[in-house]
Amino acid sequence: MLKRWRNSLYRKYESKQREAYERPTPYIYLLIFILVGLFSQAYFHNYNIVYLALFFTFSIALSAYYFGRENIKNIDFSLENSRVFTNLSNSLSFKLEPKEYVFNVYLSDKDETEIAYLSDIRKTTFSTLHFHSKTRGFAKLPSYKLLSKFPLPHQVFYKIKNFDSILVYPEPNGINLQNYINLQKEKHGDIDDFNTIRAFRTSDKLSSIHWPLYASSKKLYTKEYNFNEEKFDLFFDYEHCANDKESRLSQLTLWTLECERTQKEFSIKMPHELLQSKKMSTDEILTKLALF
Amino acid sequence: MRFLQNLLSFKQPSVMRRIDIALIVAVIPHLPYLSGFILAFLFVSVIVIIYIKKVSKSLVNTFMVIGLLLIFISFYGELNYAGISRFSVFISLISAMLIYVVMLQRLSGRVNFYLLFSPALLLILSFFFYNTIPMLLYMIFAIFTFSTMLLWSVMEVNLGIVLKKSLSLFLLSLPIVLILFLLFPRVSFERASYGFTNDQMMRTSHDGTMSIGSDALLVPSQRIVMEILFDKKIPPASKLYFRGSTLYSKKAGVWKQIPQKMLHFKALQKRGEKTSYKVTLYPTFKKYIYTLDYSQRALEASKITDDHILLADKNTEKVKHYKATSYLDYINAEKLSAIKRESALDFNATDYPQLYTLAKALQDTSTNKSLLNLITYFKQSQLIYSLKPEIDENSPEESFLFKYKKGYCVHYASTFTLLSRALGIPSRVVTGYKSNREYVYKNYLIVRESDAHAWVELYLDGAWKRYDPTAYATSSDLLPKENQFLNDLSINYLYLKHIIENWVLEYTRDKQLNILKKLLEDSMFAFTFTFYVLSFIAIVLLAGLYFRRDKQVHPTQKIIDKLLKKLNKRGYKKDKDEDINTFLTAIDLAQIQEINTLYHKIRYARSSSTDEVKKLNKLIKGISSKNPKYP
Repeated sequence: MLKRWRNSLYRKYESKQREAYERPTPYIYLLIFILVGLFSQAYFHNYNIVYLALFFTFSIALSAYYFGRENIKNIDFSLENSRVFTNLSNSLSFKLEPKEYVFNVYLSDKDETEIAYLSDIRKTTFSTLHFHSKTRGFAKLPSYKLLSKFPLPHQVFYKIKNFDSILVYPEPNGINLQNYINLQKEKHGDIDDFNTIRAFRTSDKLSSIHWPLYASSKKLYTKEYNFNEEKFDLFFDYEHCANDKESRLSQLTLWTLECERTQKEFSIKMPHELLQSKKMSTDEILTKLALF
Repeated sequence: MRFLQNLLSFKQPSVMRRIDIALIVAVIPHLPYLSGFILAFLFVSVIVIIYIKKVSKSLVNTFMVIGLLLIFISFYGELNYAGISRFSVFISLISAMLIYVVMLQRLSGRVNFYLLFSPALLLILSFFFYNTIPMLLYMIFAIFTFSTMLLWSVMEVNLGIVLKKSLSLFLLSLPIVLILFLLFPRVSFERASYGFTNDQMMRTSHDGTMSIGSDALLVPSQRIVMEILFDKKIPPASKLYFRGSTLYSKKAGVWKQIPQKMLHFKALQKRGEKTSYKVTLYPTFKKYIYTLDYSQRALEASKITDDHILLADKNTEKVKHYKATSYLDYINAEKLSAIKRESALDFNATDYPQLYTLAKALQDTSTNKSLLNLITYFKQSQLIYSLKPEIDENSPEESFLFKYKKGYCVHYASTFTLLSRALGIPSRVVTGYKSNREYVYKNYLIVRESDAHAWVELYLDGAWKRYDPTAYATSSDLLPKENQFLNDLSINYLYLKHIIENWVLEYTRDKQLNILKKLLEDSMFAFTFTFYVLSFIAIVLLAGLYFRRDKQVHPTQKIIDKLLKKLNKRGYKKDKDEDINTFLTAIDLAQIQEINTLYHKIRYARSSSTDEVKKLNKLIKGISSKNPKYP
């Protein structure tokens, strides 16, 4: 279901990418002036050289229009890092991938303040966009424009509206994962407490060796602990992790991200469902939290 | 080759340099029409622009005053209403003024809208000066240059890439140009008669007289008088007589015309198959319109005379294009008026005693037999065709026939006409052009001034018949023809030129309507026409798209290719499927691993500096392509 939704988002993005707009530049007035001048001269002079000059000028301008569209059409653009969080200054990486040589492209905001100018793109290029949101869930990104001023008489541009529905995750905030784990260990007994000892195996950690026993017996024994960190599955409970809804979501977001970083498996008990890292990707869990 | 490589690797020049290039291209067609003073002003301004980077305001002001003064001097005497109302003076003045203003603006060093616009304005103005094929080609070159400069202003790349883009843009625009050229409705006005157009040099042609003495018309010049494009095959040389004037009376050594009736149509009998052709007649400054024997209908703005001579309403002062139809097999029957008969039999025995005696000797029982005797006499007289004959001024015909036996068409025609008259046969001299099909390509024929000819028409059995006594010459003292290869080359070039002139420069509203009409009526023509047009469009589009596609070659690829080349020479060959990293890692040479790391960093890292590219270049330069020599 979630995958289908994500795919539909990409499809939407793809389809909107092809909506290009044009508008004239001041050079269009020069072009019109030349065309009118040539037409007048052709009309009165009636020489085919003048007609041909008129036709050449007109058709080059028309071909240039096609070139302009093709120039910008040759760029695939996407947001590379789309994880954004509330109350943070998020850096979005705007990725421009040219299929061919692309010239004279601007990335600007809605008011056409230039964010990046790319005179000549031959390889994948990145531009950084900044975004800030106070609320989680779906949020509107500001509109951007990708403009091509190539060739001259007109501009071709894309209104980048397809990122309207970007998902903002809760702000990662609260007790960090290590502290939480320590708390959990205390609940399961002291860190030095161990149940039993057994003969040392080569795969065992050196820190698990019972050195006092080795000193007396000259044989290696391994301690079996009550709390095995590696075997321990982290379990986060929505109801008990913080006091209010937003704080709980922030806490869970923080732990989810930290678990992802440290590659720990975890489960989150939400009021009506259980989110398990073994069954869902981090993004899917974060999406659930963002939309909760 | 190295020069071309250097040229193509030129980096994007400044706005001013781009404008300079466009201005140079736009000013060139004006140069022949600028006075010496304006040329000097232009030259000095260019020198100042080149050598003084920042021209002071006072120097610009000095140029302003001097320039105005030079324009005034250049057009002194023309600067009145009568002078300026002459279009050529007006356009020259505008041209000089524009160049003056552009140079001042350029000297000031400021780029503004007017300076940006000036190359286009100068080019448009130059269209008033010329309507020739070189100007057509130059116009295409100028527009290509302008679009290249415009493209370069938005592409921070070297000349090679911008030329490729510009060429692609140009090629993709060609189909639209073709369609517009064929279909865009033309105005039905006559050609504007102003401007300094075309080849205006006067051709030596017939003036309705023919001198027989030492001042006889002799034009060995190879200058083209007419270009003829036949609808079908070119008729045989024996039929290629282009009629000019008919001459009846000879006074003081000069043959002259007699008054003619001016008609619109002159009937012919037994007309046979007709031949249609298009003629380009160069300025003769006479009213004669040359058509093949016989055209029976007057052309537009012309009349046909009783003798089938076509006369235009005005002298041919500009290149004239006309379409004519002639009947090559004809009987030109005519009931001779008393005046015409008298003129055609005008022969004074006392003026030509030797011719009279000969005529008496040739006289037979019938006119036809007498004529046969005359022809036989001509053939047996061992007459030589010569362009440098010796002629006695007092008796040119008799000295030609009996003494020197050398002459060219006028001597043959004049002598034959006089003898025919002495035999009682009404006869007249006809002047015009006769082609020997020397300058022929497919259905295209060139008539040069050297093809000027005179022949004879005899009135036999109630009709005029053509006789060409020059054909009775037994030998010629003309030098052999020039190199045949050059001749062929010249005719091919002229044919191409004619086709372009005919179908591009002279593509008129009538031709446009004719094509449209033919497209609707002739399905075979429609099919062929569509096929050629579509083929042209397809080829041009494919070429345009080919040049438009840019292989996305990363800049470092070119650098690494150099290294691969060097390594290849040293015996390290890279397999096709092998990637650069695997290949370079396996090579145990100093700095190769550093190159490998740097290359991959520049190629695949998110950002790379130009310093790193420079370093990579330097490292690769340091690798020798030769294996070190061991003692």
